[in-house]
Amino acid sequence: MTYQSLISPLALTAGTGLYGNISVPSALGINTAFVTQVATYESGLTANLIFSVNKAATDLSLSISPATLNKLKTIGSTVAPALGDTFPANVTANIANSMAAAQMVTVGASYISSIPKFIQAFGTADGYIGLTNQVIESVVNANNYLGPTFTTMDDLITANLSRVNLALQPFGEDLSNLGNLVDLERTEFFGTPAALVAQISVIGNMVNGVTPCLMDNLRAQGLTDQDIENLVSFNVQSLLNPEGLTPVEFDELQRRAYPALVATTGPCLEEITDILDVTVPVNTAADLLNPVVIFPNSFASLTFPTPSGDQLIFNTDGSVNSDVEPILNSGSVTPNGCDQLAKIIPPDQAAANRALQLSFAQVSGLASVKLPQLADALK
Amino acid sequence: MSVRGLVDLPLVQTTSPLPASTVSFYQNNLAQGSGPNGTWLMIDFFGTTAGSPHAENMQQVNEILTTYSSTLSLLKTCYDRMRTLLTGGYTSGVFPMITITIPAGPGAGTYGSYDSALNALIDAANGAVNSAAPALGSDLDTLNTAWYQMVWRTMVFEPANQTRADIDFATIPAASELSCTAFITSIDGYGQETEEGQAAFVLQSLAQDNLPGQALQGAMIEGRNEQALDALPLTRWNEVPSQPESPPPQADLPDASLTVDQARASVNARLRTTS
Repeated sequence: MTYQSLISPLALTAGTGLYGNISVPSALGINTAFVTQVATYESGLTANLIFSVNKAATDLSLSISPATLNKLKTIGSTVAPALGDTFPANVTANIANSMAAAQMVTVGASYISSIPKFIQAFGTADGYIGLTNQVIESVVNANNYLGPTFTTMDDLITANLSRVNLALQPFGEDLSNLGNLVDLERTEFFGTPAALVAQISVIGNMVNGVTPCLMDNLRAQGLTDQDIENLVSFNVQSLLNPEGLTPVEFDELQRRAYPALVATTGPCLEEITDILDVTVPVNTAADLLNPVVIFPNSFASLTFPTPSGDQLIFNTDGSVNSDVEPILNSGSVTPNGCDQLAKIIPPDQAAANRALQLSFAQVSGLASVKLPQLADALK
Repeated sequence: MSVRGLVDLPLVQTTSPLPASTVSFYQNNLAQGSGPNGTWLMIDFFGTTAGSPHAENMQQVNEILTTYSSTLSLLKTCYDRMRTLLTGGYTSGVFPMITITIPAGPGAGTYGSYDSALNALIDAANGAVNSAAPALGSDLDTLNTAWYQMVWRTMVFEPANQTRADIDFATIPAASELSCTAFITSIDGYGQETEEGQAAFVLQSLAQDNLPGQALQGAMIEGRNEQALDALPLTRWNEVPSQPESPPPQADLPDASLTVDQARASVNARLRTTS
């Protein structure tokens, strides 16, 4: 509940009737409609019963026994207690000589006989209600608010990071050695040549290109400077880029870029790893697309989501789990397949990277995170 | 802090966010209010005072008793005779040699004590209740439900809930100026709690028809207006400034500032100490 704490003239005037000062009328009192209805009731059918109970209880000369008085006070209690101004038989409470209706008024009035006391009680109740109802509604919502998307408690408390790798600490250590290798805004391109060259361009502040030696290697594969610009800028058709290259044209550029990455070694490779702050040992730039190389400590526990639960991507020897490709091609995951990527990079890496693309997609909001931040949160 | 999973905690690796036992626990222990899903309402604590549902239920009772007044005439006669009995209307003789003679009708007979005569009339009254009840038809259920709700809430439900919320009128300080002052600043907020049975409803039900009572109702309306007006870029003037127009006189506190000469002397003294 959010209060605005307004001290207005009306509130100040109301306040005069809250302090219990006898020179000022009280702002609050028992509900008058209830009192009026009780008065009507007591002047009707049960008027003489009420008189008789009081008389029997207080006039000792009548010698009415306690048992008789109790019978008098419980007429109709098991059939129609309202006809006898009594408590229902299944309510455990002592009925006063004033009888039920009057007793209810007495109880109600007692809570507000002291306004300052009532105010404190009211505030306490308000606090209890606010806090307790939050918990109650949370319980009601807990099994529904996620709809059918609840997977495991680990996933729930790790923002689905455990869906990528349940071995969070080793995964975090591996990520910390990758610097700025991966642009988490484009995890749908994870493990592709385009993602790597684009990241080199962005992190290295290179306009429409990459490092000079990599540029040479790309040109050696027949890529023009315009082709390289298209790669680093992800100039592929989309809703926001209807004039871009078709996916087939874009993938052809990637296919030709991959051998250039394989050929990028030594000082040229060092320049790239320096720019990206990658410290994991790699032999070629193409190794930066290989999950077994870039996640040496945690590749064996990388997983991807499937309708029947998360599946391991790799075997412990670094080979790709043979279940991965059939699942990717089954149509049970969306988007399906890894055949296109397998024409660009080695087929086993294609399957693994495609699976990881699906895995990263489970982590909502990942696009707002930088890779070093993610590494710090996990290692 | 690092993100971690629930290692070695297999019991909480459940197939749903809350296991059924957890849901049951809260349903059976916490969700005992009369609101939706067992949520708590202010009337669960002070409903009797606020006349909810009591005013409406008592009206229902009165209407039924009026509708069936002829059906209940025998019962009324029993009650009338009780009054006549206990005020000596059937008594002759002088104590202790009294004779009580109830004429033909409920409890008719001759008795040697008020107690025995009253017992006869009580039995007659119970008989009258038993014979009238079927004649009320479905209104008997309505009557009993309305009555039970009121009595149960007043005598059982509300006291138990006050205990649950640590409200004990016997121990609440009788004169808490602080609470009353705090309440003044909260009226607008309470006015915005407009759910059925909650704070605004209860305060509205308790507000008296006098200047402070009407001001309380007005302040709650004002609070709801605030909620609506917050969305509009209108200038409002209803918040009374709570700072004094002229700043209050300041205390004569030490200045705690060195003069330039004192500062130079302090620096030089420090230099001499460290060299």
